[in-house]
Amino acid sequence: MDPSAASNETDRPAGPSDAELVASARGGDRAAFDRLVERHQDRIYGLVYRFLGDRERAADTTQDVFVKAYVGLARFRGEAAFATWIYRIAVNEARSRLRPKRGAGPKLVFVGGGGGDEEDRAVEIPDRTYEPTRRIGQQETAARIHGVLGTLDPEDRELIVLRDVQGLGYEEIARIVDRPLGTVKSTLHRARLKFVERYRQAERGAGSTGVLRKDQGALK
Amino acid sequence: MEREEIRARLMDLADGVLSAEEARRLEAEVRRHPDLAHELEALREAIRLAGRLRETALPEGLSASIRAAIDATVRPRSVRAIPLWLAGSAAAAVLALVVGYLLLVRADSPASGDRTVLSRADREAGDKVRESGAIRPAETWRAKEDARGEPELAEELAEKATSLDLLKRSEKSLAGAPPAAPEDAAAPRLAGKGSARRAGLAAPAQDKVGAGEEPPAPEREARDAEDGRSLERKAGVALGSQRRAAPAEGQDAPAGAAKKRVPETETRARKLYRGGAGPARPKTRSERLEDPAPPPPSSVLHVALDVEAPRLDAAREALVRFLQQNGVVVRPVPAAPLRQERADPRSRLEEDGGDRTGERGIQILLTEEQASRLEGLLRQFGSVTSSLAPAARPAEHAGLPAHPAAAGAPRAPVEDGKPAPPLGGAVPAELPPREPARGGDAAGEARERERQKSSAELRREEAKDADGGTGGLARTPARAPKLRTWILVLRPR
Repeated sequence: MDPSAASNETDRPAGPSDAELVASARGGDRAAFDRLVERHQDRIYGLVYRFLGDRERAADTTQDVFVKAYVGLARFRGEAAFATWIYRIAVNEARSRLRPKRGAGPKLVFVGGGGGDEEDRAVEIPDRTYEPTRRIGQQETAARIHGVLGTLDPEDRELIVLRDVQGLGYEEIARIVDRPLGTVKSTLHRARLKFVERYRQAERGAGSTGVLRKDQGALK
Repeated sequence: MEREEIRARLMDLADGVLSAEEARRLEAEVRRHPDLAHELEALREAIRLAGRLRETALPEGLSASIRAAIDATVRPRSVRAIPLWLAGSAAAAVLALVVGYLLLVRADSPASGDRTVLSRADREAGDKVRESGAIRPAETWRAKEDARGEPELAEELAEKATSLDLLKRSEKSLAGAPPAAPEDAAAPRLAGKGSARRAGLAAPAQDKVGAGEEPPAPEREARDAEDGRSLERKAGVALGSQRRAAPAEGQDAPAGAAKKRVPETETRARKLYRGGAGPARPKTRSERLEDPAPPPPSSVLHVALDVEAPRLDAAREALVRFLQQNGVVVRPVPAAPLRQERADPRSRLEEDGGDRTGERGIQILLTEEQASRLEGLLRQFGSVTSSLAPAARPAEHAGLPAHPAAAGAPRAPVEDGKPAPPLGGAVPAELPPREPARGGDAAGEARERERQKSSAELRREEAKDADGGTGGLARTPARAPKLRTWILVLRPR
């Protein structure tokens, strides 16, 4: 299957095109923007969910993405497709949510010993919301794949999601992630190999322990 | 095909973007390299695995939550229908209304720190009357630091100034016209054409006033006086000088500092307040040129009622009643009145009315008829003394010291039943003759004659209206009723 073709198919929905809806929305037609939301929310949510690994955070992020799109609609020049533009917003929003915020997460403070004040001895606990063990019982394979995806670097993960999950073309991906086409291809090549390797590792681990351990999410 | 070339195209092969012919040829090449074959297999597996993640169940209500979030973020549709300029104008109008209302509220309710001799109860009673409209909310002037912002006083002084030559009056009526200093005689020659005429006026301005004080008379002031210009400005500046504290005796600021920081009239006031301090040192020509002319006579009268302490409350009540019944305009005393005895806490206490509140009395505007009646009322409670407001008062004149405390003399009382001393002072019989302008023509001489004629008329007018309308407790108005300004202080004995 040609992902690009699939992408093109989704760009040609029944009824008014994205460009027409955008024009109407820019003219103040809120219903037009609601149709754009209906048309793109599943893909945006899927992208964000695979990127962040948590449904709740993905829903919040998806909501913020569309709010930002609506607010920034006046700045949308129409040089790229609306889908590309809103994908870019989604990727940036997901990236910002993946960035560790200093002092935002729980901290483990070592009591006693050592010098410095308490703040110096505090260690931030990494976010473990990307939990592959949650849905083992329901859709074991999909959950395992999802878990392995979460072990990849964000850059690798977003390329796999955009290309192999969302089915976007290389050029569109290059525009979304704002990197050269060759870089996108070579990076995706390495990311795929890494992804498969980790999946096989996870399969072997699951065979011996029965479940994919949560700690494996931190393996790189 | 080289190995690296084959590897570079593995992605295309895995993605299935090659044509069938190309795909078959490339797969044949790949089979010859087992590692590349494994890599191709891995890529295809990755695509297959990721493809299984395409199905993602959308959370329920995501669309609704997105719509709600957008609604919460952007303006409501009804608001969006209003043009921004209209919304901005409406907001500005509302803001202006609110500010106006607040200003009105503030003007109608005097602050607790208002300077008045009235007690709290009296102030509250006064508030009620003020609300009824009987007394104008004079507190609106309170915040204005510039005396020129006090329209009535300025207007009153300006009105007098328009009919009188301020400079001549203040100089001639105080101490006559001694001969000019030698430097002044030389001034016209030094200054050239036009300055001779000015020097004719500037010379008497150097005269000693009263007990040896020598008010300065710079050319600029003399010129202004001659031309009849800047009268309103002078009146305003004179008022401003009342607000500024005079330096302690002998604490005249250095000339340079005074030039830089102290307004002209303040310097002048300081010099005037040195009355009785002995003959002033001879001034250099530059000092005389820099020093401004003496201020116009003040119309503000300090009135103090010395009342027995037990009768103080009764006096206050009677005063408030009088003010309320007559609709007298009450305003706070201008800030920082020019009083040297401020440094002495006892005198401050005395002036504060003995209530230790730091209040400096009330300033009221009265018609002459009201002033007469109020004087009579006050005399029922004690002795009344009056003196000119210090800022514009000459050093010594008509028996009144420049400032009682400053001169070390007791306040000059106004005896009960006797009219206030004439404030205009002695008027010299003749103005010193003016030197004709150097090289003056017939027109210049005509102007000079006109000027001398008007000066004589003014002197006659002054002689007729001896007190010059500059104060006094009981005085029959010569013309239309005019407002008198009193600074009234109750002093318990």
